[in-house]
Amino acid sequence: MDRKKAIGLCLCRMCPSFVDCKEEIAYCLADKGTSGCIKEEQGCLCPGCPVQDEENFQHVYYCIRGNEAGQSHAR
Amino acid sequence: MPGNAWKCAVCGYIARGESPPAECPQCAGTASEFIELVERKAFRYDGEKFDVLLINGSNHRAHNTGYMADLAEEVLREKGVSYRRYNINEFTISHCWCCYSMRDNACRYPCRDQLDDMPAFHEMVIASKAVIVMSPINWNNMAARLKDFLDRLNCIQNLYLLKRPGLTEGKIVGIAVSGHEDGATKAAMDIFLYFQQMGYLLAPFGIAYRVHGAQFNTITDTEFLKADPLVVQKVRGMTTNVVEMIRLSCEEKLKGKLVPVCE
Repeated sequence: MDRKKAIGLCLCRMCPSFVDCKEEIAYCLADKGTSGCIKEEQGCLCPGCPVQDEENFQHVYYCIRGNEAGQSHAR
Repeated sequence: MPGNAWKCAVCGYIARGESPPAECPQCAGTASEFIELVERKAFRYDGEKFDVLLINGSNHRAHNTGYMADLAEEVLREKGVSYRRYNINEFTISHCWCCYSMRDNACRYPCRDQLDDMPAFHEMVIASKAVIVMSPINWNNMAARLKDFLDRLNCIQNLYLLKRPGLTEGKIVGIAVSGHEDGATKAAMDIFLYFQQMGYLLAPFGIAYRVHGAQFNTITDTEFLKADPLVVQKVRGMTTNVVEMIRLSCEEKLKGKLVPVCE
């Protein structure tokens, strides 16, 4: 999915773990690393996110643990 | 309150002292139910592959069902099988939110509830080749804690309903039940039905149960079980059969060949 479309669908801003530091959201598809400001896992909305659904992604907490490709590779 | 403090894994009572009390003043659990109170980190799966996930589904980590889990561990060690044992009373597992009842595709792996310890168990269920589940009989049923655990596997089972790639077909399950009353086969079959709907194969002679009559109270039933060679024979047999099934590599051989039939 195009990142711009993903940002439009992404639920990150409603997430209990989200901290707004003006980063680009849709961390599941982010090119580089993790969020620079979100550090605590306080819940995750990724499992119910339309981006996750459409892409059939299988991980969570992308903002902290890294994007889908990175987490898949780690396993 | 870490440091010289002990938590009863059954009821959560905190005791202070160099050693745990002989009996929990809140729930009557024995000293072996206490675990040292330490700063608890979030429970995460480390990603290392292993063969058997051994679940003690009892409220008690070290009573009759725990004894059966000890017996299964003996066999797994003897056979050189990699395994991990978890006493689920030491973990936080919430009730299933039943997202599927709102909308079919609202429930799928990974689970929407990322707030407790269950997501790590989901990953281990998927990573392991077999699950051995042990439960006491509580009022003719499996333990409620175990039911919560099994209910939470719905996000994996629902993948089949949603016609998405499955993650568990061809894996192996073994079950052991201990109890003070009738209901062993019912509890065992209730447990099995969860796994059947996730594509698991019940190992041949894969259900071991041992119950006893009302002549044994909750003190003497442990003596009875620990002195009963049939308990040893049955649990060791079931565990051996699970291991033999793992060695057939059914999961690998059946991948992509099965037709999911589930509700």
